[in-house]
Amino acid sequence: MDIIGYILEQFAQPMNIALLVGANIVGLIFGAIPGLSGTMAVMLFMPLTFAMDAGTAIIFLISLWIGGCSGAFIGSILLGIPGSASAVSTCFDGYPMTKKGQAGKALAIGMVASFTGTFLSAILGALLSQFIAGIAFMMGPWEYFALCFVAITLVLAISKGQMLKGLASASIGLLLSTVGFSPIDAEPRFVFGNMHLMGGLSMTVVLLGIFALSMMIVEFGKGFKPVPKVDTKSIKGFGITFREIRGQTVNIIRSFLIGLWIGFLPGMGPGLSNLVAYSAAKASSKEPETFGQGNPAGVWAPEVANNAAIGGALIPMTALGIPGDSTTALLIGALTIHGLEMGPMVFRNSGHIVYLMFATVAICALVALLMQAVGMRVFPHVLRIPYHYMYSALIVIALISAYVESASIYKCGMMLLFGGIGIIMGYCGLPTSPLILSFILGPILELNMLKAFQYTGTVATFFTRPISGILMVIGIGSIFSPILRKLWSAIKSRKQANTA
Amino acid sequence: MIKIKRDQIAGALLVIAGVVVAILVSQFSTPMTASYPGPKLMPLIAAFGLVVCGGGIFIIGTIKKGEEDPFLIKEGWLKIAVTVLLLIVYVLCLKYIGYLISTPILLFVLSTLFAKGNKASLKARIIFSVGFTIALYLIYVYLFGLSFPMGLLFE
Repeated sequence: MDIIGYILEQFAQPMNIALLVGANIVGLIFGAIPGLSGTMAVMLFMPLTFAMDAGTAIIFLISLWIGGCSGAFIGSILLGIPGSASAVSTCFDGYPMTKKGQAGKALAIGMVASFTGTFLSAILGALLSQFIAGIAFMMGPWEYFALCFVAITLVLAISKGQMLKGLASASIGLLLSTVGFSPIDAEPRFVFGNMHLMGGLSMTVVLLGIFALSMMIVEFGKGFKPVPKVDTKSIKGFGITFREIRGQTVNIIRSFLIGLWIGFLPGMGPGLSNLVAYSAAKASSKEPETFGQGNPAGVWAPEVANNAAIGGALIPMTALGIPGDSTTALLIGALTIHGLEMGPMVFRNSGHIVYLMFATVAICALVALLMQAVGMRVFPHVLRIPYHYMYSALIVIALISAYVESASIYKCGMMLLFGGIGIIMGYCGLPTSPLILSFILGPILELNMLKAFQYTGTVATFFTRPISGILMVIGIGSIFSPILRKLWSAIKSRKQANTA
Repeated sequence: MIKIKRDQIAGALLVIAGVVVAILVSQFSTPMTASYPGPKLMPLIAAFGLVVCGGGIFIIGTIKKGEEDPFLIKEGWLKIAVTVLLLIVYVLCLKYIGYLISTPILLFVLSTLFAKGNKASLKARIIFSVGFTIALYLIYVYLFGLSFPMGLLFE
């Protein structure tokens, strides 16, 4: 199929354009409001795509995602509360700028930085993914298993001081992914004679229950925090000049490369890239003492990096079928519903779909920039949507999403059950990201593991094949990284004591 | 009196879950061999992870000194219990009286409950409940062609 023709055909449809703009606005709102996120928007509205064709579904879901990523800086800058984990370090200098009466400038930096990161990463992603897919043809089930394993363990490695809890959460996700008939042997597991469980647990039900429903209920239990007032008078004009942008060229390029690389690593994403880019910007600045007091470079760095991670995350998702972060994990699941299996073969079978994704990301970045520029003064009002209306509406959408998936009330009940599990997980302090990743990667992990055993009949091959061997060592190293770090620092301090 | 910490409860729950899973896995019919682990291996890895992590979390929770912040106060737990109960009733109502009747009632009750202490007039809550229910119905059913529960009593 002619790829450019297909993409143009998709964007020539008024319905697709309306969905792109509408989903982008919804995503922006979800990204901006603390507690919500673009990931949650994708989860909540994914069932709407069941009745759409694949192209429309991709445009809709990616628009939600990009909107959410682009809007995350709004809460960070105006309230000092990050819209999502991807904009944590944007608070460090964005909010001090607002307090100094430079909210307009900080918002403009956020917009341009988000656009730059997303747009350029989409173009680079489109250029690199087919090349990576070519390499992927050389990979067997051993390498795929090892890649999925690394994706899960790398998420654990960054859960500072919470390694055991992260691992426990990943184990729960892995366990939930085994419900239903097993791959290859078709043995029913944990179905208890219930026909609703035979096909496995629904992604919408599990993730919306554990991630969204439980969060909203617990937030109500804790009591909604009042949103601080924002001085809208300081938001005037576009806020930055071309000269100021040019002055940040090195910072932008460095942050972009950091974001792209971290996004590319399986399991990592914008949540980490913004922190690393901020630290790098501070470390290489001539005036590091101004960071944290409203230095514009401290807004540029995290915003370019967290958005560059989008294109980075799409590369392993499309080329290898391995998600770069939790949202791409969701997208892989959503696309499977439309009969599209990500991985190297997708370039041969449905290459037009892959390039539609990258094109949608680039167009969405532009649309988000335009809408943010036009609606800059509306942001403070978006942040003031009353929680009692917003959460009531989102709870209904979540439950109805469970129903529309298969027109079954049983799924609504299941979602409530997983909502309960989510509340218990919150009480126990278990993070949800490792669960999402391992729940979605679980079936790929198991299928490839069993295939590998069928071919060679031994576990040794996972370590003797070069790529899978390296990946397995990285994965195992990540699990033991807290112990290794402690050992290393003990050795270092002993050496220092000896030399003294 | 010894105060049980949250990490101790979390650890114990995870260990129990892991043991239960391991027992259930042992009842699978396909055998597990060194050359082909079959359907037992993955759930066993998960069970192993639950037991080991649960044990670790329990031990760390026991060793760790100092007071921990409460997850929720008693009133918070009560709020959660009421919300969960409301949602259970809503799901049952969806089954018998359908979306169009049960949703505005749930939205009105939830927005009233959630708004406690905040400004939200009766008129605004009614308009929100009815308006949102209709808007969602029109978007999902007419725009996207999806089906909503109509209720056993009206089918």
